Amino acid sequence: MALLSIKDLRVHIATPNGTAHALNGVSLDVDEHEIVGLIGETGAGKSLTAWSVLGLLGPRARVVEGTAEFEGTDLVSMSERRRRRLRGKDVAVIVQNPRGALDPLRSVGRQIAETNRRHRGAGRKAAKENAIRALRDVGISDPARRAKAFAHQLSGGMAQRVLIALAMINEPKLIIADEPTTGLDLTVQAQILDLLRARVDATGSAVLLITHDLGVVANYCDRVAVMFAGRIVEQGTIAQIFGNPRHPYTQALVKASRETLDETVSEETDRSEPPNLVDLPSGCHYRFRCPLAADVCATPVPEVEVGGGHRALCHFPGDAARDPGAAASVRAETVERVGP
Amino acid sequence: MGKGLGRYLAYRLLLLVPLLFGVSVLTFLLVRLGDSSPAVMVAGPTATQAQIEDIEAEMGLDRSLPVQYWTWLSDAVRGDLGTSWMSNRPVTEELMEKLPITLELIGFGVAGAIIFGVLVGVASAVRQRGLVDQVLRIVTLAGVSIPIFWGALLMIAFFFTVLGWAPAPLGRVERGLTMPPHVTGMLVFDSVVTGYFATAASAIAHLALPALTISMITGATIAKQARAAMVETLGSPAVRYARACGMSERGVVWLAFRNALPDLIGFFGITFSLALGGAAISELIFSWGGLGQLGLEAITNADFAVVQGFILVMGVLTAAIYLIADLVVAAIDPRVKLQ
Repeated sequence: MALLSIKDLRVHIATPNGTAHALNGVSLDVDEHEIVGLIGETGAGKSLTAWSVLGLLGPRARVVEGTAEFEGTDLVSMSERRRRRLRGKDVAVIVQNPRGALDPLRSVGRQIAETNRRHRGAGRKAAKENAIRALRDVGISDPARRAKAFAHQLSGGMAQRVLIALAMINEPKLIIADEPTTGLDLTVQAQILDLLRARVDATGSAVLLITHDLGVVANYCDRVAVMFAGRIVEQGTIAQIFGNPRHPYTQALVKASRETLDETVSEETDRSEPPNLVDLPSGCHYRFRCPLAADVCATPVPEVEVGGGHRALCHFPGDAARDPGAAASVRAETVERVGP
Repeated sequence: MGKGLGRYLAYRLLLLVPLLFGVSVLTFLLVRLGDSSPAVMVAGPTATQAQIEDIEAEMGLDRSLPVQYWTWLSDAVRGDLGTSWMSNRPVTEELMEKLPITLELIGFGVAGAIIFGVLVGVASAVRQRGLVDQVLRIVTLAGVSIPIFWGALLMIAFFFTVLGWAPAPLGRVERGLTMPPHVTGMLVFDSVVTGYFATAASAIAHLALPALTISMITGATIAKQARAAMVETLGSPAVRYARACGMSERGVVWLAFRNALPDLIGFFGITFSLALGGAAISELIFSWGGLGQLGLEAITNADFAVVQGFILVMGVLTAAIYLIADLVVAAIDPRVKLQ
């Protein structure tokens, strides 16, 4: 049984222009000890998926259908009281812009200790010691002194380490990392992701890593799910997705990421507008941008299992773009970009 | 910190010098720009022009403005703010006597406004579009648009004339009660600490309406400000993250409130200084006999020395309030550095 099992999750958001169909049947599993990447363009619904699972949607957004079972219990229908007890304990969160996320008026050590006390009932003194140890574990030197620092005194990378320490303090089973390195320097990005990977390997937590950076996915994830217009259009292992992308959108993404490496290839990447979520096309949401689109694409799309857990949401899950070298080249490119 | 704080305070006091100089020059010129001359008032309606000129010479009003100002300033730095022609008493003495009377009124008025404003503002931000929020919108509109003299008269009409709950709007305490010995000059405080409870009860009853008048006009704006600040912090990434870490809703509201506080305290300072002006009118209507009433009467009677001293005290008070607000903010917000 998967640690987290999202099934047919649908979320509507009330907007001045009408109801936006932001999530349209998201199904995704995260197993224990694995890092699953959730990738897609802005507005595809990556963060929304995560925050729906946490039960922290804004006042205008609403889960209209679907379940998200964590260790067999549905988080969507669970009472907010019970969900609150899970958040920060069994399910921890790392967000982007960590300096804005921390309480500016409290020292970071105190914030970490408070989370420890809240969920684990640690005593004041024990929680303080735990917080300092957690800061040391994320590679912060002189953690006892740094624990007294306030958010505004930290660099972005340092603040993100603090957030990882805060997420790890209660030994969560699942960490949701929502664009954890967006806005950080490339070298710092690599450090933070290496740290996250190392901490996860050491503690055995699973991670749902939300990003729009294919290189991050290739380097740090075990499996990846590609989102487009509120649906997961393809999911599989890194080798499957990069070596043998079946959905035309994934193929375009993989191709685009290789083109940034190879400057001689002419730019013909997919740069069209994302679809209007208030008035989504019938059938496949990608069909107006898809080179393979046909009449049948206006009808409901089947999810095709192409083997070994590799699934694509497409009428034509062909293997025309088969290219085993793709994953390796994307990895190489990222390493080159973030390397010392 | 101690040394830094001392230097900061010295710096703020130094800033006060040019401020008070500017205020005093401005006041000095403004009171003399008007048609009214204290000499005319002193001389009375039957006086001849020669008599008036004699009195002007006696008061020093026949000399040039720079000389007059210099005379005033050189006395003022020694603590002598001149003599009131109305009461024939030293201005400094009169101001010091009236100051605690007004501070007590404003203190209660603004404290009430802050308590009311913060509670209502926070409640309506937490439940946006809820009942409290809807009522607040009407109350703030009324509070902002009702002039203070009109609000005071409504209070008297309702609580004294109709309901008879409040005592007559004539001063700070019922006549005939024994006055407590002077401690601070604040009647409620003095009579409580010295055990004059009958006097204290009467003083509180008399204080209720004028203080409420001040609370009414300032409380509405504080509520509005508190709501806006809370709406902002409740929607901040810090609150979102705190929820994601399993913080309770009560904890979240407290977090948002703490983070709204630095802005709010600055606003409390502004409100307090605005209340200084509003209090003068409230004092006049309730025959309060404090600083505000003294100042207003001095203006209408061209009692130059009192006006000058009154404005000076107002300037110092305002500066002191802003300083206190800044110190409190610096104490609670680690991002603020005093320098």
